[in-house]
Amino acid sequence: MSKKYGMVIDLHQCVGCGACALSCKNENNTAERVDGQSHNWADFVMKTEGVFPKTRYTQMPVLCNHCTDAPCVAVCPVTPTAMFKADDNTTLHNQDRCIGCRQCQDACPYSELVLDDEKSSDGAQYSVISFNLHGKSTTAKWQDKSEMIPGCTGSAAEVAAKVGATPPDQNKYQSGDYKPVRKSGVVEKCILCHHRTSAGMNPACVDDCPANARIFGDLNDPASAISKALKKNAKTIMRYKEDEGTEPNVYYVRSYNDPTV
Amino acid sequence: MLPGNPALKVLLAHQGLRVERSRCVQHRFKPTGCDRCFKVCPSGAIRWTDDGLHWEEAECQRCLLCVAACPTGALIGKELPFVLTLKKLSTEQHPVLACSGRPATAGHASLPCLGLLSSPELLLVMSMALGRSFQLNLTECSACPNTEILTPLKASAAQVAEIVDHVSLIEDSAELVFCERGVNRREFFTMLRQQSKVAACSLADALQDPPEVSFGDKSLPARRLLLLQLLKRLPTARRKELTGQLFPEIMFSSEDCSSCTGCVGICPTGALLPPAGQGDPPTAHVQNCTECHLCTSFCRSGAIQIRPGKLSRMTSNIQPSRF
Repeated sequence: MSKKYGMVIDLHQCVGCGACALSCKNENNTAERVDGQSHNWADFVMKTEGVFPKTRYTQMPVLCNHCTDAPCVAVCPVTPTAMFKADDNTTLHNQDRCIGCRQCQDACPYSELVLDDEKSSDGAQYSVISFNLHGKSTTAKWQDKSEMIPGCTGSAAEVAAKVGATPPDQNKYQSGDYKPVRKSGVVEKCILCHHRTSAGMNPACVDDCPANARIFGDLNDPASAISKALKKNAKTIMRYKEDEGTEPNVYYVRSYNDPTV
Repeated sequence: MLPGNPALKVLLAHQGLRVERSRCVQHRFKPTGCDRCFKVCPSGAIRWTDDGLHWEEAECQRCLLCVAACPTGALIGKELPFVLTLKKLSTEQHPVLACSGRPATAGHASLPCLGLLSSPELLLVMSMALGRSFQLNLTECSACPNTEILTPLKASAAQVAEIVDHVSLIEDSAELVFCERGVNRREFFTMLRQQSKVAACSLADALQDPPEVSFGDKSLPARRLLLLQLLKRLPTARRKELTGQLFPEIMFSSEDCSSCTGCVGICPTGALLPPAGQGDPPTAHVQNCTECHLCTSFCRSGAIQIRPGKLSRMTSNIQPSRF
């Protein structure tokens, strides 16, 4: 049977530290938030309910759900489609075929064409698919030589040069259709670190989670850690916006607020 | 010989068609249902399959009607050194363009089939480049299997005549004014050099796989590039007059446009550029618009309207069914 990669996020383990989001930005060289595009392949949905002192806060890490019935693939107008499903179920994107029409962004139930700045920084809104605006550099941040805090720190580019580190835009790996530096005028989204998973590694967000809240693996293999985790927590399984009917493959189990589940 | 053998490639790939998928209207946006090339093809050699646009070499009659019909230059005729053809004709007093059809006709230069000139834009380019009367030798068309080209070619010529009246379609050999010019030594060697260069280039092309063109890259069909060059040479007044007539007007409804720039992405020729300011509709560069109508059929909010220019009104006979 072919592989069906997916992810389980254990919400009881997750403390919402944001390491997954940072790790993803470093690994995949995603740009910073600009003109209503978050470029966050790993993001959070945050919610505060109730009135003090009876308040309840939830933070849920989100990423592309690599849906089995992916609407982004279905609407891609290009032949062969620029957004496509790999044999291992990952939803991948080819930037040479992408014409930047943004139909995928419109069709995806987890994406917004333009994010509301306030709502998205409050965690009420996020977008799996981001668009790189025409004519704007996708790596401007990494070339920026201005001080991050005036009179106090150097720029990211200078620090990286001093310590001999590799800034994200110089990640040279490549896997199939995926390129670590995107052009302007095309969309981009989480590819479940296909360049890593196809080499037998975990996605970066999984390896860098300090709380081991993320489990990546083959949903079709009953012996895999992900299948076992789903079996063990069968009662608490949840998929985000499941009723959209896209068969998402990112599962959430347990709860941070309620340690009994 | 194996199919991938370079020798075979050189021997076989002489005439024919290259399908540049990244330029194809249907490849870029399947729901448009663009069928311009299928509609004009008399032999059904070009069709849409599960893999996309497919050209069946064995069934093709080389009439080039599809190349003429494609608004975005997605169908590229190999072995069509059109500029060289123009050069050859330009030195003649009474230029005659012939074809290498079945049977071939006589002239100062020839194309595989004059069906190519059923594109009014190309015929206009030719008229403007030569700047004097020229004849298309159609004397054998009635005997040729590609006789279907006559109707669209005549329509194209009639439409171009409204702008520049230089084309004479010669169907009766008695009307043909053709004096084959003797060549002197210098001319002979110039010709030899040019011909060998073209032959060598086309052989080299045949050996090489065409470069991968990204769907995101914008490019203009060769005939539009030539037209724009020729327009530049005209006196200012005439240039302005023609530019106003030939090209379409692209209008955006600022109420409906969400400034998503999807149309900028879908446009294959670079006629739509990113908006000047955030929230504005895209900037239109009408000289680059070949009226493929991808943007109008694509726009989610129906905010784009194209008022056809003279060039596309000319091609109304090959407009796709669903627009």
